[in-house]
Amino acid sequence: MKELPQTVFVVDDDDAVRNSLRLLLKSAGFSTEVAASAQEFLSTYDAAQPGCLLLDVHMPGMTGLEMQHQLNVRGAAIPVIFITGHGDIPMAVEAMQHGAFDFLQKPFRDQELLDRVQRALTRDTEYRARLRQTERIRERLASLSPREREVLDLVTQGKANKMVAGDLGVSQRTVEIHRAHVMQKMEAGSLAELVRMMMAVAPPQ
Amino acid sequence: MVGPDDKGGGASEHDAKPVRTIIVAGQSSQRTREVLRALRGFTNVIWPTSLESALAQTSSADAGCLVIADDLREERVDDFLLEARELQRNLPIFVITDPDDVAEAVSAMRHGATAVIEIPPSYAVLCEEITRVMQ
Amino acid sequence: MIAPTPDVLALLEATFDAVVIMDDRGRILAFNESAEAMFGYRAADAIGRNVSMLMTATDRLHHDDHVKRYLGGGDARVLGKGRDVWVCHRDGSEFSVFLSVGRIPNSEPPQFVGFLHDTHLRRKALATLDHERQRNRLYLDLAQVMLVATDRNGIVQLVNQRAFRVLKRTNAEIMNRNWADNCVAPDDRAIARASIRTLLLSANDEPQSCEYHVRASDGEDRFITWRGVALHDPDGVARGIMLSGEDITDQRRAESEAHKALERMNSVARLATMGEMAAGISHELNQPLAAIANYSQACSRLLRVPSPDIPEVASALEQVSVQALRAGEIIRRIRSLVRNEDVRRETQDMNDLIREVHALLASDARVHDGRLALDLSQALPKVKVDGVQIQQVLMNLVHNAFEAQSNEINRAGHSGGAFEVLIATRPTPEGDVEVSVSDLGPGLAGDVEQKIFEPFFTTKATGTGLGLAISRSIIKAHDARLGYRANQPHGACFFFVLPAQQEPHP
Repeated sequence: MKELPQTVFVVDDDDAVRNSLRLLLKSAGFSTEVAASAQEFLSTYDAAQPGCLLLDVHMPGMTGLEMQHQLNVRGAAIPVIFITGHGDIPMAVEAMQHGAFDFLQKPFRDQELLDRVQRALTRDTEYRARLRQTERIRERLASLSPREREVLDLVTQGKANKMVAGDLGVSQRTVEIHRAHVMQKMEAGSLAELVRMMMAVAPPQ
Repeated sequence: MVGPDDKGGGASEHDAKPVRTIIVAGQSSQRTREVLRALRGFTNVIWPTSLESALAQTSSADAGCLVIADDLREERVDDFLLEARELQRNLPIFVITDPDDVAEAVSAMRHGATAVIEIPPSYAVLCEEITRVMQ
Repeated sequence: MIAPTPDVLALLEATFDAVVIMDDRGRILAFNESAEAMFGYRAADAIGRNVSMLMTATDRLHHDDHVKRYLGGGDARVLGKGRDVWVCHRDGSEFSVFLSVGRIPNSEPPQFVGFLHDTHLRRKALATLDHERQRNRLYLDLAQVMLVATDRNGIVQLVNQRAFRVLKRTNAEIMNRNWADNCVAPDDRAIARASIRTLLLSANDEPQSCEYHVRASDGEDRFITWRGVALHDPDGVARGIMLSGEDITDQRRAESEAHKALERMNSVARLATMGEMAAGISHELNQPLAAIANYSQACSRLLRVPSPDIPEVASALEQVSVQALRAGEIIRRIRSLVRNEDVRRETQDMNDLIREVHALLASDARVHDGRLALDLSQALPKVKVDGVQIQQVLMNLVHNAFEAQSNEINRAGHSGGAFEVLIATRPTPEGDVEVSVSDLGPGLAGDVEQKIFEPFFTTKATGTGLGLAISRSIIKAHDARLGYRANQPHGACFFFVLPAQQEPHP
């Protein structure tokens, strides 16, 4: 699957900060898109776009923290790095508690910013890969027959084939056949892998 | 805290909640002492003598919350945080920092702190937060 | 005997002096009430009798001769001029009176009228006057004020104890010497002379005030506030002046100290407000600094590639200098607000003053996630104000407004959207200038409304409680009043009305 290019999104109401950031990121080889307000960003943002977000905290209209809340509500998972001209610990803690990836105070050293942007982009890539993988696992799960599904559940609970046969009221041989099909359809190489797959799609505690 | 049916001393049939501990991890520093003084309104505050025993307390079922009081000379706060987080996924962990050290606070958050509180001046905030999570 | 006419009699009764009318033989024809009082005779008992009964024994002998002599065409010694004579009371006591005698015109045979003025009273008055004078001297010397009198040429004629003490000189060193040259500090001599001149020329009796330094014999200068009057002779010519002076050197020093202390406190409050706005200020400065850092770092990177994009680098560097100047401007404004400048009132446009601090106020707004709006009236008369102080008041009011709303929102939970604080100017119907700062916060509760201007009263956890008190005193010093009214539908509005500065007519 072709990877979409990653974009660093910059949202800041101060023209000079916005433009200088754009130039800095460009000079380091990142592709950027800028917006002067939260509304402007939200009206054009597509969650399918990979990348990360540099977000100013204090903006007239919708603030940075409010926009982060909006993104959470929408279920968007883009990593958010807050940048602020005036930051204090309570603000930083609140941002982090609401899921921010990072928090930087202006002015910052370019390497500092670029490292964190890179880290955020890596996180985004990993996350999207995980999402895709989870999707694939779900697809595969859906392709199992009900009986195969039952076998899968019992086997991943740690039960031996004999126990499974007893629970389902079938022969051990049948269980072995189902099991082989499951491994194949799920593209799992081992029981451990199968367990991991199930954990990956399990709902969060 | 004892339940109404507790006959005192022994475990009752009804599940009386064990008193949960407030674990203070810190070197023998002024800041740690200040934090301990701020917490004197609470019962069951324990201050383990070593970071190993602090981690052991953290992993216990009785752990109520963990307060990392100072910069833990021997070990980095972030590493200690990670280890504590590994032991207890849902345990409230508070990190105390110097005022205005935003970078340190952000780093602590990224390594698993529940909240970061700067001291001084927020002793009151610390107590409020602990009261809240211990309920 | 011809009786005096009723007119004459009426005239007689009207005078205070004793009046006796006699004929050419010395017989008393009229004897007024004052005469009755003076001599102790009733008119009925005196009329018809010889006037010599009123005289002393010695004079009695000579009176008739005098009369004869006059009638003989001789000397008019007795008539017209007045003289002191001794007369005799009914009870035999003798006393002195001032007698003037005149011939009644058109009287034939001649009748004479004598006016007798009681010199006893006059003497008593003179004695009293003398006594008064002595007492006044005593008062002069006891007085806490300096008293100095000079003649038309400024030569000292009178000086009291207090003056001696203040000037640390003796009588001989002050009296009969020129006041300005001798006792006034050199720099102030022109003022002193001018004030004496003005007093001498002034038409009315109102005391005139003036202030200048006198110099004591040891060289110490004392600052005196003087009140002077001109002293006129009976013909209305100014003969000299009288000065009463109060030594206010210490008082003035204390006032200057108090003024400095108030300035210091003002500065502290200014700094306290600045401190409260520190978040906004640091925010404001960090923006251009961040831009500078980003642009210059970007330039470094841009230049590292084999074929650098020179135009891009050039435009980035241009921005660096623009942002650096922006930062400098912000710092300059902050410094000018913090600097302890002398109170200086100048004619200004209120709208310009507001625009000058707009950037700083807007950054405070941003930190509170709010917005600052301006509604400045176009045709606004100018005002005479200390710009820095008025800007300080604005800073205080705007900051309070944002704090009030910000607290409200924090308490109610996170509410979306910005809120506004409005600064408005408008001319009043009387032609003055109203400046108002309004918000849509909770407004002031009834009991708080009374206390809000009191020093050290604050509803904020970290407030100094000085902001509004200082603001009020600044506005008061500008002959205006800082007031509060509720905003619609809710919120607070603080306002003040400055008197318009009259434009000088060409």
